[in-house]
Amino acid sequence: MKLTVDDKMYELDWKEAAVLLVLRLVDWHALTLSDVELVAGNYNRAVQLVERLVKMGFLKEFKVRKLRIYALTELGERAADEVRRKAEEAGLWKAGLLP
Amino acid sequence: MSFESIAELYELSRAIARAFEVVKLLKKRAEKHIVEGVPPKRQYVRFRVAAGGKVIDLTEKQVAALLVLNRTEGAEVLNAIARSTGLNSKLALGLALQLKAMGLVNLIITPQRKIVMLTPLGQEVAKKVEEMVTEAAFPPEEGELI
Repeated sequence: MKLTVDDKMYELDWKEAAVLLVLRLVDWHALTLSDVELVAGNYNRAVQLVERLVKMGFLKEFKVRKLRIYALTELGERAADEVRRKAEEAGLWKAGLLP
Repeated sequence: MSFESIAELYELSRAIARAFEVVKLLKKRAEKHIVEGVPPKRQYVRFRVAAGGKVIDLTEKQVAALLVLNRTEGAEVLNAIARSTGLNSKLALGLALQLKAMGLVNLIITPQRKIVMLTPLGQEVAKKVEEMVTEAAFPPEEGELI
């Protein structure tokens, strides 16, 4: 899907958009790689996915030994909000569905 | 409606469905991992450090945590700090929150994992504490002999 954030166009697949939304929706605003795996479906895809999002500037990575934790950057927050806005506009975002 | 916009709507709906599903699961998991930080009791000020234009009083446990962080490039998982300071996870989190309130560390918290990172002020304080501890353990005259 195409996203315009700060006048710049980005192209994300649905799993990448889902990671941004999850990070915006969980109260603690951070995910481990194994949490991302839940979105991606497998480890390799999760690694690819976070690498791409970090490269695009949507995620920041915190690395301690083998543990990697990801959080949204300010740009990432705006991108997640844009995904949400698009979903609301399309009538896909229903409050009742929110966990 | 164009094919492109239908495809985009489909992608969007998949993203939302997966995100909601994962958030629900993560929140459920998080309920089992709620740890509230409790500051360690009976802490006494043992070190006084001047940094960032102010004087900072530190207890033994706080110093231990700062030393661990200083020797691990400024970031460490909370469990490792708990082990080094002899505290359980509840007290270690309390200690980390105390250090955060003092502006010495930042905390990144997920339900299962917690990372503690030194702030620039924390780095300055940790470096000074390290020097003080080294000096106390190895006085200069003994150091010269080595």
